[in-house]
Amino acid sequence: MNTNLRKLFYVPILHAREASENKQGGEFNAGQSAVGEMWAGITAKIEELNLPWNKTRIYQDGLPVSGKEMEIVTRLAENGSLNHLLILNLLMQGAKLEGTENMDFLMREYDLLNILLMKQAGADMSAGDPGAKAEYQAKSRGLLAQRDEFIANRIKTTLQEGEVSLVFMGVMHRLDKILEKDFPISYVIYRIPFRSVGAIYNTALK
Amino acid sequence: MDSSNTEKKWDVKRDAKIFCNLSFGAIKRMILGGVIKEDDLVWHTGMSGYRNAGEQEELIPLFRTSGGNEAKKTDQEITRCKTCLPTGKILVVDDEPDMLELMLRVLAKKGYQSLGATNGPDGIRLNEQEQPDLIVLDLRMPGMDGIETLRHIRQKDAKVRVIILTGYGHPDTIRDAADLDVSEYLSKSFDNDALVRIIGEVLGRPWPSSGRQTGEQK
Repeated sequence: MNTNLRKLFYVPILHAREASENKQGGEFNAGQSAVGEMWAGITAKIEELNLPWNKTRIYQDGLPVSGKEMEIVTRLAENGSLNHLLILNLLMQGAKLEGTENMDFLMREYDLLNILLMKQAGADMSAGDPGAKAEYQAKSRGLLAQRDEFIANRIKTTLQEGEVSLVFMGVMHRLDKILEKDFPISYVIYRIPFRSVGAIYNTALK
Repeated sequence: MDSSNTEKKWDVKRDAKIFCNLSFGAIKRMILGGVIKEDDLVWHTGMSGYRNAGEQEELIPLFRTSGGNEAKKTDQEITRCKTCLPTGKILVVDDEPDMLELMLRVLAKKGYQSLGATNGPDGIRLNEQEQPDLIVLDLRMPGMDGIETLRHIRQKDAKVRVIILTGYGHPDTIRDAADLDVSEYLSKSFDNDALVRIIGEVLGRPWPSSGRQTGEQK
């Protein structure tokens, strides 16, 4: 067995508001429950892997290369993000955190989403604004491809021989297609509750 | 029916239709009086409860028995009864007969009306004929796989809810599933209780404003 091989564990995830609203509002609805169970399942599957944490690097969707990666993850975990809470726990076991994203790309994505949300807010509540959504999707898709190239390059250049990477990435990214040429990839998949995160997923990713 | 007869043993063939025509209040009194006990009466094809026509939002507890041919005969009578609504009709498509049979049995036990298909084309045909409320679809099947099956189904049916169940999860099929508007994508390590709970979650959500609805409202 070649112990110098760089291994990659890929975890497709759904973005959701997760537990932050629950913490404040008190009500725990089925959608939040499904998201909670998704993360509980992912956590259990990762534990089963018995990864060497001191040789593991974590790459998280949406985390800019900024020098403030740890601060961002901590803040989001404090706000109730189960995704970032899991990462914090893994870091405490010895894993290393890497920034993944180009800040300019992220800001462009943020701007696109803001424009969409403003147009949606001005449209009929039930119908939304299909034109604005289609425009967002077209632009976001192109941007997503650029983001994936950047993230792939980050992983290739930061992951050392003999190390393991754990990549948490939104389901609509196609990062795996780029990385599979360079890494043996194992997938960690438990439950993807599309309907439970409904509008958030459909607006932001589809 | 004498609700004071606490010794009475319910029998599907003999009692179910009468049962169904009782008012909600009468059934409720029998439950409170201990005449009807949970798990007393059910039939194996999956009808799970009764609702009075005037109180369709309220579902009373389940009554169960072991099923069998006699029960099936009575089930057909009950299906015609206007005061009965099923909690959901579920189509399971899986090429592994043992897995299919197990899931159908579990779903029936939980009160769902369940149907099975062992390949994609049969699944497509059954969806058109039976209009289930939800499809549990295996991804990896010989011939027409789950994604191809779902593409065919979506050409005619945009509303049916779908749970993908796979032992070979991969981002490619997750993206395909997202494009085909599935409700859930599950890795096959799920146990039966978890699967049934998730089915309940998916069916328990508000129905789309147009298109399919449950039971006799179809």
